[in-house]
Amino acid sequence: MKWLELLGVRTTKFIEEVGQVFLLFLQTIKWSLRPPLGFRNILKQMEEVGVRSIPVVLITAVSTGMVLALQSHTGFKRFNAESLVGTVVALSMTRELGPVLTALIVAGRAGAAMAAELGTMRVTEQIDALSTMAANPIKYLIVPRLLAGMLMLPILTIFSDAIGIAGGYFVAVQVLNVNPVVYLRRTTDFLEYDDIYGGLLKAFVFGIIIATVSCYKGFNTEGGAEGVGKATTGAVVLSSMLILISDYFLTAILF
Amino acid sequence: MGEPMIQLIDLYKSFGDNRVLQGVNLTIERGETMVIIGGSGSGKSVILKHIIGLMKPDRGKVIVVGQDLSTLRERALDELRKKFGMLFQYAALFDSLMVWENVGFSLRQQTHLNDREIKQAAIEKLSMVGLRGVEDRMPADLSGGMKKRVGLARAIAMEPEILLYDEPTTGLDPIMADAINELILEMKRRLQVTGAAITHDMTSAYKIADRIAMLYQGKIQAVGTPDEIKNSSNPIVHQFVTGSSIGPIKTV
Amino acid sequence: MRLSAEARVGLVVLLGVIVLTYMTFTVGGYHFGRETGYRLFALFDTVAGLDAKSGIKVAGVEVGKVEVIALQDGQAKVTLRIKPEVKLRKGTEAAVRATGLLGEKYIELIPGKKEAYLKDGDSLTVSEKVADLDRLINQFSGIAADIKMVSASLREALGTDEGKQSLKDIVANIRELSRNLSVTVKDNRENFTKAVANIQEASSSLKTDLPKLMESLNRTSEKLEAIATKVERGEGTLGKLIQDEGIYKKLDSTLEGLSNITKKVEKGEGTIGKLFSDEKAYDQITTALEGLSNAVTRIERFKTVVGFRNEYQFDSHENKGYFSVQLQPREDKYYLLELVDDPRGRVTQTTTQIDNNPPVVEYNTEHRLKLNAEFGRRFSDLGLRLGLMENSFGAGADLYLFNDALKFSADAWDFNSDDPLNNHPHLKATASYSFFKYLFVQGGYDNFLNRKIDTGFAGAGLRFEDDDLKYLLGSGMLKAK
Ligand SMILES: Nc1ncnc2c1ncn2[C@@H]1O[C@H](COP(=O)(O)OP(=O)(O)OP(=O)(O)O)[C@@H](O)[C@H]1O
Ligand SMILES: [Mg+2]
Repeated sequence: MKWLELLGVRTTKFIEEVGQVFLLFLQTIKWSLRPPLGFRNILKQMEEVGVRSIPVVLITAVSTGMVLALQSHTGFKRFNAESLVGTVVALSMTRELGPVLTALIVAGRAGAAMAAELGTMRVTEQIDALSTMAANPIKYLIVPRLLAGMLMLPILTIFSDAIGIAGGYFVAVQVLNVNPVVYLRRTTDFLEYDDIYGGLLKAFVFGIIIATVSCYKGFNTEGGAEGVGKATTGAVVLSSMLILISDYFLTAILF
Repeated sequence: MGEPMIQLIDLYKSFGDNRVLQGVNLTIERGETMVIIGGSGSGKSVILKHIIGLMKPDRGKVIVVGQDLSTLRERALDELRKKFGMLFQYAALFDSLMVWENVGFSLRQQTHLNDREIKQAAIEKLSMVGLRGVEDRMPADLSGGMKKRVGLARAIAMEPEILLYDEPTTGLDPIMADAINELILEMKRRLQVTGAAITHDMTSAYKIADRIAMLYQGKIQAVGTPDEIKNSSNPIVHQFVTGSSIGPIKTV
Repeated sequence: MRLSAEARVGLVVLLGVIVLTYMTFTVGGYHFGRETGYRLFALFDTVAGLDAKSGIKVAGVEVGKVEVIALQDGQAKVTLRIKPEVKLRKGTEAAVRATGLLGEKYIELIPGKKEAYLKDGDSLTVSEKVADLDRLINQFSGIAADIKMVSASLREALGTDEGKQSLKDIVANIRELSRNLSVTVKDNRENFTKAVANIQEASSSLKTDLPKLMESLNRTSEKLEAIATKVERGEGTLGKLIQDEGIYKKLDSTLEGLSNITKKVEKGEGTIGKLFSDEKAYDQITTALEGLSNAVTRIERFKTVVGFRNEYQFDSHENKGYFSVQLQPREDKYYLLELVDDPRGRVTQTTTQIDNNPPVVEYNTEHRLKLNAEFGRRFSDLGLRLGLMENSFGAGADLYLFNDALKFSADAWDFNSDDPLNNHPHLKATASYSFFKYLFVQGGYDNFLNRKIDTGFAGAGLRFEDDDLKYLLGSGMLKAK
């Protein structure tokens, strides 16, 4: 029964943590409504989360689109419906893979960096120092990160969608010899605004999750360098889990 | 004497099983510098963090300028904190900001000065702590003693009413240490600053203190002027100020 | 050249917006402002597989897109948006086609020959002539199944002497039956006419249909009789079959062959065979079949819902019971009949005046069942009811939410009542929520304009649809046996 007990403890801890993350999110929202917002800080975080994540996001997206084309082509060929590859690639990228893969990558890259940075600030008393200078740490540290996450995740997802579709097109047309005109028609005909914007809405939520979870983990770091390490892994694990869980519910609600 | 500026009333604080403060009572009056001495790990830094509201006591009260910290809401606490400057034991410089941005942080938050003016003010404060030409460096590129002095410059940047120094001279050479002591005295003379300083350096303590308080086993064992402490008959105080390993304070 | 942080972030955001705008405009042909082109309408029996935005083609060339598909009287009303430069002559016919076995559906227009051109708002005739792939597949599958069944049963029936005898018996029976039928029809002609006369008042459409029906019944019986005679005389194929041994033998071997073919089909040999053994094709066929049968049942279904419910009234601590039958000829239309057992009963007023004495008013409360008879229409999530409510004229509205699980109703009736405590119209607001299929709970406020007898209430009830009823009755009967 030991493991059952452990499972119970873990679950309780997980739920508790999610609750605290949510409370932090509410507080951050509250603080983000109080001007002035440090524009410089937001910009800096937007660069950190958005601009610097572009290469890895693009590489992932293009390879995903290509693999998707290759794999689905094998299936559709059997029904002489090769052009449907375009539909599959476009729908999978915009609705699911674009937002989710982007979010997982950003969680691993920028989320980990956020947790590590804030964790270090916590253990070296920099967060305390902020408080003593009457600068609210949530407003100064978390608000810019949250705003950057909320804004940049959808933008990264747009790129991911576009590049993924382009990758699929390249493989289908250049390698598998699917008729390019028909392929494009199948892509645009079946793709709806809802698919694209639903995906972006997902990305928006994922951006919130990544920023809030990572900041939460960083803020609650204890125990020096080791603690910072733990906070960093914890942030990536928790935000990835929440991304995947919420993805299910978002899909159920949105589409 | 004068009115009380900071009052600690029956403070208790534990971290798990580690009972750090067990009924601390201490009053710091307006314009005086109180030096807190005590063994390593006895809870001196914890006291300072209670004074500025970074830690909440398990029991007891912290009253600053007549206001009970536990009753203050976020914003009122922030307002009160604008009266404070604090030097952290390990400086706690923002390592994503340049030295001058660290020193000018409060100026940027609380005034409408532009970058050039802030940098000018920061350079001036840095020169007061004996630093020149470091304003464009990052904190990671500084030595421990330099960081300490940047931290001090940051603490005095807004010319606050209350200054908390956590070991201002530790890690400095004797000449620089004395210069810092002079600076602390200068701040008091010029701005009537109320101060609370922690130090292990008794020379420094005698020099800057109006009164000295000795913390031991979670309680203030004695409070008095430097002379009273120097000549105290309390065996604990006597052992500490003479720096002897023989006496009631056990090292192991 | 190194860009500043501002420039880099700005560039990325801007590029993102541009890409998004491009994608938005590319998918499904976004239009600014008004749609271009003109609209035509067509009513199909079924458009299974067709979607909004499906293509419209003339001779394989795309001329527009399907705009809306809506249900109208059990048929699919399709709005076609035709490009402005495409001119179509009157008499153009429309048909749903598929591009291949798995291909998408589109609408094919067969151009008309008349002089005039179709204009915005015109309706198209639906072409029945062109068999599309779906229908072809349906027919194949139907034919194959039929052949198999016929061959199997005929073999059985004809394989033995007994079988032959029974076939003869069947023919005799048919004869008997048809004779009886014609006698019955003749005997009851008067009754039928009377019934028709009655119904005539209610329904004008039945008036024309019923005599026709009678006539065709009559004709059928005559025909059956003729066939039976012919068969007996050995005329026609079936007759010969029974009389002539040689033909019978031939037939037997033919049947053998047929059954071989069907076996082959089953094993997946040959083209049709492949079609049937291929999982995908099979699925396609079944969905097509389902679509067809759905369309049929939608028209044919005449749903009956039977239910009862009880409301507990908080103020009077009394119970009000309802028994209801709902007849629903169409998804969006129903008749509701309810018996209401109202504890408050029926209040009547009698005024008696004897000579010059002031009139005496007596109130008479009878515990009596009341009747609701309402006609209801559904408009998407909104339902409206009109008719008799507790023996007086009334109207009500329902708002359906969450797949009809949650329902808010407002009712008003009894606009001029004899009841002295009920001198304002009777208003009632109800919220009800269905659990599972049968059970629902409800609560609300009743009669809030009449301060003396207004009350909150809570209740629960059961409702069964005809399928459930069949099941319940069936299992009940099994138990009884
Ligand atoms: N945030 C904290 N969490 C848990 N324990 C803490 C925390 N801060 C301080 N402590 C514990 O409280 C005790 C007192 O710490 P404090 O930093 O006040 O010591 P100190 O008197 O300043 O010592 P030193 O002279 O070495 O700086 C120590 O045992 C320390 O482990
Ligand atoms: Mg300390």
